[in-house]
Amino acid sequence: MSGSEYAVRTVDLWKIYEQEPAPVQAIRGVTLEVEKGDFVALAGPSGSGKSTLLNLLGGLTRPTRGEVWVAGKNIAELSERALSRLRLEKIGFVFQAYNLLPVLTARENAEFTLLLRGVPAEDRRRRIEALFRDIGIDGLEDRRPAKLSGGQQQRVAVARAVVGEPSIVLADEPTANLDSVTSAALLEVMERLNHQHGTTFIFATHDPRVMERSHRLIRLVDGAVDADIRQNVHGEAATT
Amino acid sequence: MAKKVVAQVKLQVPAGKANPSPPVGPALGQHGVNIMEFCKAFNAQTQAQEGLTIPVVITVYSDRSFTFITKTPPAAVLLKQAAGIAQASKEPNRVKVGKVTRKQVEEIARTKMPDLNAFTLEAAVKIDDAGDYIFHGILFVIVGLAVLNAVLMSVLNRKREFGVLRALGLRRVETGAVVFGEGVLLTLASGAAGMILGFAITWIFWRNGLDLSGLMGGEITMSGTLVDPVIVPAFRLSAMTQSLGFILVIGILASLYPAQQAMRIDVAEAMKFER
Repeated sequence: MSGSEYAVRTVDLWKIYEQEPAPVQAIRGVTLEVEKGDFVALAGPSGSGKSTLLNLLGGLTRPTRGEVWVAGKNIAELSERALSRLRLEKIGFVFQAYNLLPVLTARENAEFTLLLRGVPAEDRRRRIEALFRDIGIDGLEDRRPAKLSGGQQQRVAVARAVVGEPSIVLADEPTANLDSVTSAALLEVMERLNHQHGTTFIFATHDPRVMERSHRLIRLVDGAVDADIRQNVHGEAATT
Repeated sequence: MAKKVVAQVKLQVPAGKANPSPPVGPALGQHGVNIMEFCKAFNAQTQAQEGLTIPVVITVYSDRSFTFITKTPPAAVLLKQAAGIAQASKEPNRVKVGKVTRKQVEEIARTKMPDLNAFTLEAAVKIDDAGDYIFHGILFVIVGLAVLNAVLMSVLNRKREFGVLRALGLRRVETGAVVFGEGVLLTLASGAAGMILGFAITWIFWRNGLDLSGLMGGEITMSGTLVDPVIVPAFRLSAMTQSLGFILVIGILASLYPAQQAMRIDVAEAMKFER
């Protein structure tokens, strides 16, 4: 089976929403491979299908047609149970609205997936401590989300996404709610994680700074790949 | 032509032993009734029941004539007779002074049938039971709806939260289980709180008695039975455990639908960013 060198791979992926008056073709035949350790931005105007594609990659939405390969499995064919397991172990999510659980502390939020996976407490504590230090939110472990700034909350969300060492981290507009300084700092954190741990990131974004810093820029228009540009960190386009 | 009623006098008089001394004499005398005439009539009518105290309502008219209706003896008197005691407990439900068997109670109920609003003893018991069932049924329906509302609202309000849990890797059934567990816990916790509160209130009344005499004007009759205006509740373990059991069942039933709703949440839909 090929695909093991990829973090995620799609083959002729379609998502059609049956609705009145006419069905909406949100994703139209997307075939792409994302290599392990890549730092990819999905760009495109509103309604171009960025979020839908991200949801398909993360198994939150089932494709109408086509294949999505994550960690050697076609998630389009997985059972609900197996898909949940895969999400738990192989896929991390970062959302625009942070979406931390309000009743849990920063630490509890970040270690939630480890808890579900049955990682021992001592191990969890050690990993959270190291990660929070890496991300620059050490000392905030026992605060609840309401007592954290937007930037801090999003860092906790990033910690939650990467703590289980997933194959891919899918981030939907992670900087859209943050000011430019906070965005830049968050981006830096994710770059460092990408660099040090080889975590694969895929962003859906409108933010030119995120596009600029990405290693690969995929532009969607009307649910199809319009441009696929590999670039170095300084935003100079290289050949694909 | 109807005669004008000037007074209604309620008395409890020993059967066949009415005489002009207090309380009968003064009570009737002040309305100008011929006391001896009443005593004779009363004694004649109640001779058969000698040894019992009979409640009697005397209606006095403007021409000083009167009529009277005898009731069946008060339940309290009948109970004392059955238990073979002269004096009832001064502190009902707290100090026990005697015992009666179920048979004796049924016998008393039969004696009092003429004054009850039922045709048979079975019917009388059924009326009492049915009242209880209806009352409890209404309460339990209210409890069920309240739980359903609370749990369902929490599901709808936290759609995104459940979406996050699912995205992080919680399964559909696990999400449902979270909601279900919450609902049942909520019901049990409030059930327990209610029990403690109810116990406290009942205990206060058990200690001090619930005095209704001010509210009911001295003497209370229920279906022709004289009732002590100071009500002292009793504790029954079976009633408490039954209620807790019912509450648990209601909690389970009322949490099922919200749990199912939580399981049906579409993650992509729930996570859609709304400004």
